[in-house]
Amino acid sequence: MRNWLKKREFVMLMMLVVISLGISLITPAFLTPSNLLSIVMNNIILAIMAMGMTLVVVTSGIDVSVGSQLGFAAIFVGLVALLPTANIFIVLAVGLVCGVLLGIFNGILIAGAEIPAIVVTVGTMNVFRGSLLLYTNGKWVTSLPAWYTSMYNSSVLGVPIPIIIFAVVVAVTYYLIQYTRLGRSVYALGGNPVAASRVGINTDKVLLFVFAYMGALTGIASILYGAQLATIDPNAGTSFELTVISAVVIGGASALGGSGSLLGTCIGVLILGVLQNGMILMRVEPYWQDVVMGLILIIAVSVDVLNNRKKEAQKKTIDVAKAIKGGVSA
Amino acid sequence: MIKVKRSHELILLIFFLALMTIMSILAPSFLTVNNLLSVTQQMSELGILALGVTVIIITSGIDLSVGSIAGLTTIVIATMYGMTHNLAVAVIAGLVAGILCGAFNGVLIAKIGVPPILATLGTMTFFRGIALVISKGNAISDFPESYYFIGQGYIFDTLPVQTVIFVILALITAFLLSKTPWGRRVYSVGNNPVAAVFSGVKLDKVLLYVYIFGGLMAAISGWIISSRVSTARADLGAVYLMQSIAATVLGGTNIAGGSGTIIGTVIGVSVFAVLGNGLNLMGVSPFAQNLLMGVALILVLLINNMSIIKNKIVLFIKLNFK
Amino acid sequence: MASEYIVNLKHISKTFGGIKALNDVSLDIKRGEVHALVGENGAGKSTLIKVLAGVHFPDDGAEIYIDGERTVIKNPMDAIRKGISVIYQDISLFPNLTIAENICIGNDTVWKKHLNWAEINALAEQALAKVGAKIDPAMLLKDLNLASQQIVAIARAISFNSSLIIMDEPTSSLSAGEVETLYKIIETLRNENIAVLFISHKFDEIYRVASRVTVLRDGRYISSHDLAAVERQELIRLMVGRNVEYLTMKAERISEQQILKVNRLCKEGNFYNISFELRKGEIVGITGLVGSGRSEIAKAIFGLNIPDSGEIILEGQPIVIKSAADAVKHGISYIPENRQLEGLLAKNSVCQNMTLAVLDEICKYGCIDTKKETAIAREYTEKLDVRPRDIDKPVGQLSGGNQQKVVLGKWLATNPKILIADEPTSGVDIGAKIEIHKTLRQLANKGIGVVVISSELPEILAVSDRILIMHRGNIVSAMNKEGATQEAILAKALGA
Repeated sequence: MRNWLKKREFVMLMMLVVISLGISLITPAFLTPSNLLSIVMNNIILAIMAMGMTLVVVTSGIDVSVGSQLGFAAIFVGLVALLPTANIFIVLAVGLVCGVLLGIFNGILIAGAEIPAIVVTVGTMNVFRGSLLLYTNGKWVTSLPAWYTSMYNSSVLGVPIPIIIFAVVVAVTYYLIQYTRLGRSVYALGGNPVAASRVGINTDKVLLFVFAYMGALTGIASILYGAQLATIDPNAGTSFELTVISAVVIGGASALGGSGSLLGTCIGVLILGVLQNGMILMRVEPYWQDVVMGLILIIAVSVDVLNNRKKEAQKKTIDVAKAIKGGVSA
Repeated sequence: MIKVKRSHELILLIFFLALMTIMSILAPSFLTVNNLLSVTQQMSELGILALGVTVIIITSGIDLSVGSIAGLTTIVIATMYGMTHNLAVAVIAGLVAGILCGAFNGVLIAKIGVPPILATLGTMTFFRGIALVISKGNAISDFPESYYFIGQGYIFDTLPVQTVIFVILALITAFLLSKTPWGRRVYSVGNNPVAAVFSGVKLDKVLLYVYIFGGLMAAISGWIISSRVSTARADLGAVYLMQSIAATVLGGTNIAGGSGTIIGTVIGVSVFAVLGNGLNLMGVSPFAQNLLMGVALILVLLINNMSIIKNKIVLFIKLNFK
Repeated sequence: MASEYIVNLKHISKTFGGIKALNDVSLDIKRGEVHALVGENGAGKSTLIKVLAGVHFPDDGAEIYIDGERTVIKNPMDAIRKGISVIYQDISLFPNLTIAENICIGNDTVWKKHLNWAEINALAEQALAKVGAKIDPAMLLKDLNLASQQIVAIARAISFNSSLIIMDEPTSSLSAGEVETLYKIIETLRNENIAVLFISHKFDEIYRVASRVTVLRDGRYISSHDLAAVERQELIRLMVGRNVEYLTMKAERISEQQILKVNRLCKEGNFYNISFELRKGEIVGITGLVGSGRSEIAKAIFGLNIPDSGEIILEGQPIVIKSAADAVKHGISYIPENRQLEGLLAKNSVCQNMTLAVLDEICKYGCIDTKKETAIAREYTEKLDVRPRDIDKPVGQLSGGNQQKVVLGKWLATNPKILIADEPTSGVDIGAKIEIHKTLRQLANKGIGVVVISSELPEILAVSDRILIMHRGNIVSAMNKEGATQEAILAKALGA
């Protein structure tokens, strides 16, 4: 497992390094500690949600409702933060619970009713956004209290709070997928759903968990969202789901399920973040961004497919060759 | 399987008729010829886009780039018109752009073998990017009066032009799917691509044309949108992306491929249009439309999957309480 | 020891959508015995083992006894906990997980809420050692070939300390040498008093490893026997319900005219230096062990496996075939080995399946001529006696034999010059088998060149005029029908 992962991620890492080097040759402002920190800080929300999306994609699912979930939870968090009795812990709890509930809603429809994930989440994307807009009547949540908005830029022991939160998310997610039965079941389900139920994995439960976890991470992201921007648009997060999915895909998770790693996804997020930042620094007109991002995504997935195909072809000949030699290879 | 399909269309039709009835009771001005015609006008742009999406989903594919293609088409038409001042040339250039975009998707998916959802996720951004670069991010409204006929005009002073175009295209698509070898191959590829190839079907060619068809429908839709709003802008088709997928699935096309009908998609689009129009007449906030569209989609599929849900509950009870 | 029997099944029925896959079946397995389960495809073997494995829940009235005690198997995990583990035919493991995980997943002793990797790897290594495999448990399963994956599956079953291991056609993807390894492993299991339920349709294997046998037919229990006391011929009779004798049909007239000539066809790792010719009116049979390159050659001629070198000459003209579509254009047709996966559009109607390869020919002004289409479908459902005679029925709902007839009809509609049939009667009941043999012979008599690939030697002997035997990618022998015997063919196929 380690070997293969290293290979895939190594290529992505090289790509990131090459892009970064290219940008830093053109603009010296890129390779400065403050700029690098700002790249990280600007993409924390994306990164947190991409962690959850990685698990969703590993099960060969998809969640296009996360943009709506983000807006929904952010507005609720904002409204709660405006209450006089609110404090940071209440806000955290509200964001988390709100996200989890939205995720569970998706999960029940996908796992329980066996409606394909893309269909369910296209539906709930409209349901979440629609009910949010109806409730707020399109009004923004503004004048958030300072104790909330200052969170994004405060530090503990010199480490910015968003980075601490992200680190916790990564640690928890890594622990989950590496050291728990539930986490390994996610990968098992993605690798071979039929076999998964045969070895006693409750596939419905695993799917429900994956979408609930996606919701939980979106909830956490929504807390940071309000804190970062200080005002919350009920349209917040519109089409953000596509950026999240792009990062995960560039990071190497296969749409066919079964593969995808946290490290890969982090690199995917960084590639997107570095490109965006670099283009701004290089004063590339903003409308070129989509062209470059789109191309990177197209190239990444095409190269992946071609590589896999080559590997498969090689393996096939080896397999047959071995069989022809007639020896037990074990 | 055929029974299941029929029952889905039946559920949908009942749902649709119920919706019509409710709307006509709640909004007296709903059930008038003029209003119904304007409903068909409102559904045409989405409908045409959904025709392409239906064909694509039948092959078990998906196209997230149709909205971007529509947007790019509007920009190409406007820019070409600015350069040549010849509307025919401009429109043809726009449609060709749509076809080329579709072909680009088709090559990625059919020749290279990228999963459709990933390929079109990339091209969605890419095509929108091209539109933004050409237009430098601006909206263009430099059109001659004659351009507005397609999106705002009427035939015999009553029939909206875009409705007529939608009906013609729907008939053509239905014909292509049910009566031509290509249509047969589209279903066969969605049903079992391996068996199709083993029967001499050229998988890559079929898929290539399917995505070109999707691109062309998106381009026509974009043309009508820009004519209706008298503007060209890169993001014009974006709102229709998820709606077109939702309407197609609502119409009974199986997202896993192999089955689906144009009549189903037309009903699916109609449900959305009636919802939008009726709520509008009742003075309900436009925000509720989104909500109800999502609810309609989920509800119909829930009813469709009722037997699965029932089986699960029965088994659960059997194992835990017996 | 509470009971002589480790498992007793009584009154097992299972209904799927109104169809009884199992009807009041019983099965008794003694502790530590190797028990064979035989029956034709569709006899209910797979359903029965899935009931035992907890994948299917039996209909009301079923009685399951484990170790003499009445019990209920709730789900797959429950079965494992009760000492029953299964090695599925399709292996059914996880390509993206490590070997250690594949072995330990679902094993209560190590597969706990929190995973201890040292523990897991240790258990895996122990299990692998028991089957004599030296594989690094940290490798990904997908990096192993099929045979090694099978061994991992066995190691997994052993690691549960099961008292019964079910093996569903375990040798279907193994080479001859690997099969020997499997026999040794089964021997070891028997010595440890672990019972094995062995599903196979190869009688050599059954007589080699098993001591008792249970026969199923049409979802019903027929009988159980000590293998020492039952003859092979009798076993076949029990399986099919009557005496089976393939009809040997002779060619009417084999002309001198070559219809197909394959000249020194090579594909690295697949097959080497393949040359043979096919004459008008002749049926050539190709046989050999699984993995000997039979199907690969068929696919090469049909454009699905592009050879490295060599030429294919059709009616005296060298032709280039780069895709299945090219092959169809040249009048070559291919009945694939795996009907479900490669042959049929299960959800589509008989009619749509039958006309899939001739869509362009039934066109009038660019659209499908429905009259012509139904005429073709009617013609071949009549000719091939497809039942029911409903051309609008989805083929998925037909029986195996009728499905195969639909595939055959699809190719006959193209007026082929050459028909390559890869295991044309697998999963088909005996009546339909003989009908398919007859049809192949009629086609040959009409001047179509027919190639039949089969691992069933009686079938090859019954239908072919000439027999090519493959071994490790080479044609090692060609025999005429006269003088060919099963023993002689088998010896060549094994490389003797």
